[in-house]
Amino acid sequence: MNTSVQRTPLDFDDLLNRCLGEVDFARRILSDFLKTTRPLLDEIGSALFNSAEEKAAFQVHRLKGTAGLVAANSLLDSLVELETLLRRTSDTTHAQISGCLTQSYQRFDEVQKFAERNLLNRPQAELSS
Amino acid sequence: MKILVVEDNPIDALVVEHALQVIGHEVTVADTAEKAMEHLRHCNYPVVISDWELPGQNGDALCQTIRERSANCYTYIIMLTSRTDKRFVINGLAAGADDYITKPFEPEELFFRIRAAERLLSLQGRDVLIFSLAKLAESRDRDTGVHLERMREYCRLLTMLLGKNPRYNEVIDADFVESIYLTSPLHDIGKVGVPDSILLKRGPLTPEQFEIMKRHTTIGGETLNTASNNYPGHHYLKMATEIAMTHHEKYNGTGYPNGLAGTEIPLCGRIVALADFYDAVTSERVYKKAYSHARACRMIRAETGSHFDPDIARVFIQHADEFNRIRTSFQKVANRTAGISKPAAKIVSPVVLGYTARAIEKKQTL
Repeated sequence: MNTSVQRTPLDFDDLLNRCLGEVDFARRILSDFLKTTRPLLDEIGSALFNSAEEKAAFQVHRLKGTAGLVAANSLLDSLVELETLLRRTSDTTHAQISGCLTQSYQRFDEVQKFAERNLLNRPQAELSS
Repeated sequence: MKILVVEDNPIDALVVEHALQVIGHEVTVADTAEKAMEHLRHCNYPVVISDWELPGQNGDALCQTIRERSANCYTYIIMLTSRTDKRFVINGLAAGADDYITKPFEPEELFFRIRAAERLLSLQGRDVLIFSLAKLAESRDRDTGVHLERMREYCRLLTMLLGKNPRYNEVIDADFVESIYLTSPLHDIGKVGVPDSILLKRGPLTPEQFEIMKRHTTIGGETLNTASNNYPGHHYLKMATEIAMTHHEKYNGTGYPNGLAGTEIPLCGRIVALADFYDAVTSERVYKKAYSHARACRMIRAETGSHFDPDIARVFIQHADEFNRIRTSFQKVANRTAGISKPAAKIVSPVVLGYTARAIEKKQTL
């Protein structure tokens, strides 16, 4: 029997709690997050391409904070891993880093799809209940 | 309350700002430490919530900069970080942060941390207010110099020493010591109700004038008692009332205003009576020269059991050198600031003077 619980890419209840139960405000935060995250991931990729690991690590750290804030938990896990790889430079390979960055893009895609399908376009009453 | 949020990530900043605004705070957001300092130059923010990692100067450096500047009001700093590593927490606290919250933050946690900040800031405000009030009352009598500053130091030392006597173990705890330090400057607050013609009279008072002068104890006591009744949770007001009312009572019952004797006089009143006497005797007044420390000790010894509680007088005599050290440390600071122009000296005294004297005293002890 499979006892593992399938986690959604985003825990809207958590986000809603941080927004003090205000659905419109939570949606605004989420929407801002979706708008700004892909360019940030691109910036991280470009910093890595230019061997600016320090800058990349700073951006990952920043994005990690926001992913945690909006409760995009699977993306958060992926960014935690990426930050760890970037800060532990001695035995980290480029392949590991780029693999982890790719995974972060995928996780973000999942968050975006989930949010658009389940949250951003649903009536407010359904979400607040 | 005005809160400055230092956060470079606009989404994080927006959520923190929203949470704080909902509970009625006025929030300003800065996205760098440099901009935060600019805000702090123009406006007083009792609380600063800062992200750890910022572009340019980091949160811990900002913390240090805030602590290094000279400001009249304390700034309570909360660090906001997604780093849970104890090393970072220690660094932040070492840099001068008061508290920290890990990201992602929970609004309830933020509210309670802010409430803790408010509690601490209100204590600071309370202490400043009490002392300012006492100084205001004292300001009419320009003869007293830094009497209040010395008095509270004597009271604290006397109380701490007395607390070592097993008979006072139960009564004197850290809170009692702190309360007497806080409230002893209010002992003469009732003098605001004494006319200038009596308070500032250079010669001896007539019996009628002395009767009016005596009223400062009841005026102060009754005023503070009203405040104490209105705010029963503020226990220090009860002590302030007792001190104002009883610091001229004498152990043998011949004091005023009520002729209380022995332990009928509250302990804080008995302590302040001795500290007040020692300071008055060793200070110069328009009508007399300052007596020497040795002479003051002889007078206290002679008055033991009549004017003063024998236990308190004994502790004072046993540790007389320590009281003399406090007295002389204030004198040294006063001598050092004597060359400063009057307005500047006004800025130096009274609070700085008190702290400096304490610092000198500590140095001497070491």
